[in-house]
Amino acid sequence: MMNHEHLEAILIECLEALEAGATVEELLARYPAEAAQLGPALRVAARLSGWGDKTRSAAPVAFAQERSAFLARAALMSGEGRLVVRLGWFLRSRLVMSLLVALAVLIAIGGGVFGVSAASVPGDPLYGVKRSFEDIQLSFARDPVQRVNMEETFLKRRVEEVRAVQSARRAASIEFAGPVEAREGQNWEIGGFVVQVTSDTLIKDSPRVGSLVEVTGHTLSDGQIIADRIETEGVNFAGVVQGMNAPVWIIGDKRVTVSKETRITGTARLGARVEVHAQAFPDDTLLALKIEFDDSDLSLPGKPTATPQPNSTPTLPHKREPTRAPEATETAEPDEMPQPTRTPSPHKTDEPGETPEPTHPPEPTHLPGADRTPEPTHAKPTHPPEPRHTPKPTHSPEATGIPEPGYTPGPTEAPDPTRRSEPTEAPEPTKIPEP
Amino acid sequence: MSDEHKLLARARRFDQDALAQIHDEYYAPIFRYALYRTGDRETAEDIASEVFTRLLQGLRSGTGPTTTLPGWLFGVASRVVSDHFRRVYRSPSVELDDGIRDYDDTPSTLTIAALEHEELRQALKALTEEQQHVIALRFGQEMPIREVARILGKTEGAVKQLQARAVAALARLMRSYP
Repeated sequence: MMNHEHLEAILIECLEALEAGATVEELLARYPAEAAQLGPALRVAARLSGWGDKTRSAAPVAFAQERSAFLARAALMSGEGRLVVRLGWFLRSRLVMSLLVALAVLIAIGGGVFGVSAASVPGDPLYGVKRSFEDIQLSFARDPVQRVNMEETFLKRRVEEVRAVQSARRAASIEFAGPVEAREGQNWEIGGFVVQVTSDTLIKDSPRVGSLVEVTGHTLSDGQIIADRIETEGVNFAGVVQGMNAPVWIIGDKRVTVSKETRITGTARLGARVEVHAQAFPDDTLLALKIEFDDSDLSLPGKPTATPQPNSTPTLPHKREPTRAPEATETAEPDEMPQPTRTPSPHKTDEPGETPEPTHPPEPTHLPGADRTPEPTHAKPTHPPEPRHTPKPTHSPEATGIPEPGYTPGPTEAPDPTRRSEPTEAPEPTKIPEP
Repeated sequence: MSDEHKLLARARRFDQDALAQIHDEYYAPIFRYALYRTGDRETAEDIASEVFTRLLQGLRSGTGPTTTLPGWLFGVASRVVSDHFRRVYRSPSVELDDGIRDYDDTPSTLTIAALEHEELRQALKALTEEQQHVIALRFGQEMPIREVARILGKTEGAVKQLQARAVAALARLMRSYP
């Protein structure tokens, strides 16, 4: 009987030769005494190799999806890992916990990224913390330019979060904003995502292709995005109609496109004060959805009409105090006229020490019947602007005047939360870093 | 520090670029390894996905690869394949293992070559896990003896012997080898 070790040594040698290109027949001829025992093993080896040839040419079908899912999982787990470490600290001692909370708040005020929740995405336990932290950051943002930048950063985060949740095939509630890129039946492309619009989707203000919209919805475990609500990014402002050459009206300092779908209430006329609800587009153009003329002056014969303001006066929608009618016995002195400040460029906000130069008082437009200087319109906000989660992506701040400390805002100034400008705010020396 | 160790160090910090590089380099080989052993594309994709999920878990918990990344990945793939076979054996609803005996039930569209491959694949399952691993690396991946030795942490001679015994065992199992 053949020695087992001897046979194994020959088999090892033959397997190497087979790999190097020899055929089974050549090897069996080389070892005729062992051929009967070697033959089946070498044929099996040849078959194994042939089978390998087939599988080596196979490619995974879902490679790209798996790659995205793998990296999304990594991002999620990375955040969870930091959470575990930090929670360990919190659980050790109430004193340590208190100190860490205080430290976290200080870091938050300083603008540092709240690392614990920064990597969280919708569906994570800490996602609410992340959003709350963003609200805190916004509430501390005194500088309107930084506030807008911050909001734009948060907007990008929402998009990245949706992408991560979609890649991870996680069912979660999401919200993001972006332009409507296409509308094909129930499939809308918004901000780079295909969004399913169902019969349950609430659609506000008839967004069209190009409109900026806010999407609130949820993702399914297969990656689909279902829209629960699509709302056109609206801009609200008030101003005086300076021009009405269709299709573009000039209202205050803005050019607004008016279409047949624009709802116009009141008596349309030049020089009248209006409130406008418009749809914003990525190129900063505005499409008026609603223009509301103030007809209160028309109903008061002999009374002067409201003096148009030189610039549009932003107002909180539906919260503006009614325009106070001028009193006949009161004559405003010229020095009581509001002193509008120069409209500075956004970069001016980086120079808090600079005091804006006042410009000339506005020239009031004299309308028929306006035989005296009426009292300026009061339009102050009844509520401070609320920080919003979803920033408006396209609007840069306007009229971000930086009055000197102690400056009392003129009566025509009113902040508009949708414009992210806070004309009454003095710049804070505390720097709010980027999140 | 070698490139592989630098890559692993970055991966342990969950560096996205490093993880993407690892995925790009090893996902397809792991898939093909699993395909060679299971013969089913869908199963192979699931196994490859599971291997990379375990990689992330290992990196996070500190039980991930420390020396050889491919060794760790193929080692985990081998265990996941074995777990898969065990689940299949336990599950009465899956009848893959009857195939080798019930040729009459095989769809007529299968070729003789396919049947032989199925016979071979079923015979492979009867080998030890280490033998199956070596066969898959050597014949499925065409991995050189030296690389397999590095992955298994064995000498090249030990790998050659392991491979020869696995082939001989297969031949016996297929009743073609005395």
